[in-house]
Amino acid sequence: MLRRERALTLAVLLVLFLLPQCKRQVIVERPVETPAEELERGKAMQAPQRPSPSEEEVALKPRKYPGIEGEVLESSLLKDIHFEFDRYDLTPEAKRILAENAQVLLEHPTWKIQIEGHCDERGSNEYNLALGEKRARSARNYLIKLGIAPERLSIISYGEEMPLDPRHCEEAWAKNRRCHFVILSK
Amino acid sequence: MKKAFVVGIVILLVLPLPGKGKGIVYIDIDSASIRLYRLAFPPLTLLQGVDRWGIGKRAEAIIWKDLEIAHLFHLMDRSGFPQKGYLQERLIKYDLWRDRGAEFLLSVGYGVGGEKVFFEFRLYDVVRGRYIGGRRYRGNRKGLSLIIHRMMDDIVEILTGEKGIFCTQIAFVSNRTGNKEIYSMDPDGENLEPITRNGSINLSPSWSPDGRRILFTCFRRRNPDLYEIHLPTGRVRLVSSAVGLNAAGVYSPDGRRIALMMRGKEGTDIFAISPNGKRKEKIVGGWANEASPTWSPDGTKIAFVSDRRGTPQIYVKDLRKGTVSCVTFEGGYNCSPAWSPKGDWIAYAGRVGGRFQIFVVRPDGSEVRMLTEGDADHEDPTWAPDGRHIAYCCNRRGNYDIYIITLQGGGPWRITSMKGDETEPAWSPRIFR
Amino acid sequence: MRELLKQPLSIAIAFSFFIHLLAMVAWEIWGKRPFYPRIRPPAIIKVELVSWPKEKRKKGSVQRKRKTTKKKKKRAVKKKSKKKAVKILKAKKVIKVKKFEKERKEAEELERRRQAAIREIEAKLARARMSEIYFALIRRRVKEFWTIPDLLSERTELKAVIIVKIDGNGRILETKLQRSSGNLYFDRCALQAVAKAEPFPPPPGGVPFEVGLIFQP
Repeated sequence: MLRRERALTLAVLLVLFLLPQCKRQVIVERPVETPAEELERGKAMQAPQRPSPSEEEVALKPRKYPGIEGEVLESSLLKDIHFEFDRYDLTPEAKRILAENAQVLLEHPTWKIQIEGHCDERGSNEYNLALGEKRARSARNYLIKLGIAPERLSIISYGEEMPLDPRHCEEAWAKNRRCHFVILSK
Repeated sequence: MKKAFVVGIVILLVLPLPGKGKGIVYIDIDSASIRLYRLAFPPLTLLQGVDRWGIGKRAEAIIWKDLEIAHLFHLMDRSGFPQKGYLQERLIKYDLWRDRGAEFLLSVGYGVGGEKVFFEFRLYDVVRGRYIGGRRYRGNRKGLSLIIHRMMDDIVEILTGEKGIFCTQIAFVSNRTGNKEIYSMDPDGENLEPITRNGSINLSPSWSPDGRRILFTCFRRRNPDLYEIHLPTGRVRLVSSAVGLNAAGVYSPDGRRIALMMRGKEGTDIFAISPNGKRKEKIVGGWANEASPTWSPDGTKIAFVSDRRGTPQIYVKDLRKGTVSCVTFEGGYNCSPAWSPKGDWIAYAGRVGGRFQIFVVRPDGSEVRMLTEGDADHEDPTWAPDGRHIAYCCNRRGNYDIYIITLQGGGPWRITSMKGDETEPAWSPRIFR
Repeated sequence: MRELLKQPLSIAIAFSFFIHLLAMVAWEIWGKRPFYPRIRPPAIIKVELVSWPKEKRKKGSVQRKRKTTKKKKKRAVKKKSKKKAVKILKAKKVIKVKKFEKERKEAEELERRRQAAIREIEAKLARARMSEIYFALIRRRVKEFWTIPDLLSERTELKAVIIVKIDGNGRILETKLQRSSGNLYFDRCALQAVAKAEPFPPPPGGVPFEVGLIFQP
């Protein structure tokens, strides 16, 4: 009798031990971070205390691109990030802005946004479409790392087709090499 | 049997007699000097009717421009031309023209009758005092440029054995209305017509092998989608609308597949789809970006741009062997490859000294030549069906215009002059209307 | 078949065939004139002295005259034999002289022939050198006018062969494109170069002849 009870308790204990293992295997956490990135994430989470956004800041402005179906919303809270010529990796400044944007997104968990990748006019239009994709993808990957759900982020590349500044000089080009964030739905 | 006997005799008579070359010494003549032959092109002659609409003047201007672009002759100055009028064989005085320095002569006459016109040309070898050939064309005066282009193509064929490139069209992108639309024009810039009018962003036109359809990318649905317009009817259909890119679509030479850029797992890849948009097959892709596919004329290889080595360079994938080889080894930014219809060169735009120039390279990467020069950007090369003429866009006048050059360094000739930028030219195959 | 033969066309064909045949025969017999004729070295003739055969005495005449006095006979015989000997000697001398004459004449003739042969060879060599120079002149003259447009300049595989018949004054009698390069424009450029090169330098001897020109870019 005692043996049976012992066996039973042992079995129960074993099961209790095993169950959490399974659970651990099933749960897929976000990719393992390096300590540096963890630090960054911490910093992001503890963004400097801003005064709560005023009504005007939160106000979403509708935006229609000429010749493109549908309307999107823009918010001045989501800022553009910029890139070096022919590069799609994020500069520290870009990372900082993305961190701020991530904060905004976390505060508005229902927002679904589209990340637009843009290039300056140099190089072929076709290759710039691919480059714009890479830039948008970089920003998206980083935002996901910062805790934003992937389903909220879609990307599109406009290549060099929608410059902010149509002039042909380095100043204009630097402005045009960007990722822009629009809200598809709130 | 009897028939065979007769045929045998006839064959014997027709065959050249053997052994005639015996006893002759042969001398090698090589190292030719290179220059264009001098062509005398006297003014057009009205042979019939009354020219109320200045047809003769217009036709002459088109002929002159086409002759220039054909780059087969040096067009002589008309001062001191010894003869006037339409020169038929019995009228032409070869020694007078020889004294004037002409080596060839093109005489054109025309007639007007109501809405109808006719044109006639005669081409002469002045040096040898021979008539080379001539032809007559009839048509409607509204289709004047068509008639002239046909005539020019035939003149080139009589002289070189291969038809000219004037019965073709160049499709291109222009932002003159404020947004990018696709247009089409004759190779000398005549008859400019809009192809798209949707007010959106339209890019990368390319022709089907039969010259009746144009593929292009449009952002209308907030996604770069691949469309096709059927020119005779104007109907537009959506070919591919996968989320992400459906860009730079190009037909294979047999018209069975379309290669295009699409969003891959990690970067932009090149896929081949069937013209109805189904049946997708990955050609090349990976973590790097692949862009701008172009087919070899035999359809067995695709050249494309890839930044797998860090910067955009041109690669060739052999579709049968599955091998990929790099073709450009110099320069930090090489893009927009275009494979010649003759298969012997790949044209591309390469950045050197901060500016883009047009280059040609052998498909195995062995020989490279720079075809343009100057402090401007020269981009988006496209080949004419003769594998000799190349159209491209250049911003040396401030905004982008379309220019034409030849492989041997003829030109450049500017063929657009609108305000705004004309870019991404695509040269059609020969079209007969 | 007979109907066929009666038709004018077949008559013409047969006639033409006959003419062709004649022409071929004529060419074979008279037409072949090699420009570099074969030089035959003079035949070497060996001269040797051949020995003359000895003359035999006739036996019959001496035996009859035995009946007369032996002394007289002996003296007569001696005189006769002396005379004979002298005659024979003279004859021998004459023969020798004639032989030497003959040999000398033969040697002279040989020498003459040899000299003639040498002069002929020299003349032919001189002509050959002149033709080499002449060919170089033709080549330079045609090259002066040999020009092609840039689109043909890289087509190194193109080759056109033209046969020119030039008359004694250097004017062109006939131009024939023996082998086309396959490219119309290239052929025409070559033909123009030949036409422009007229008048050619007059051929040596003022005799019309043919030359072949191989054109390459």
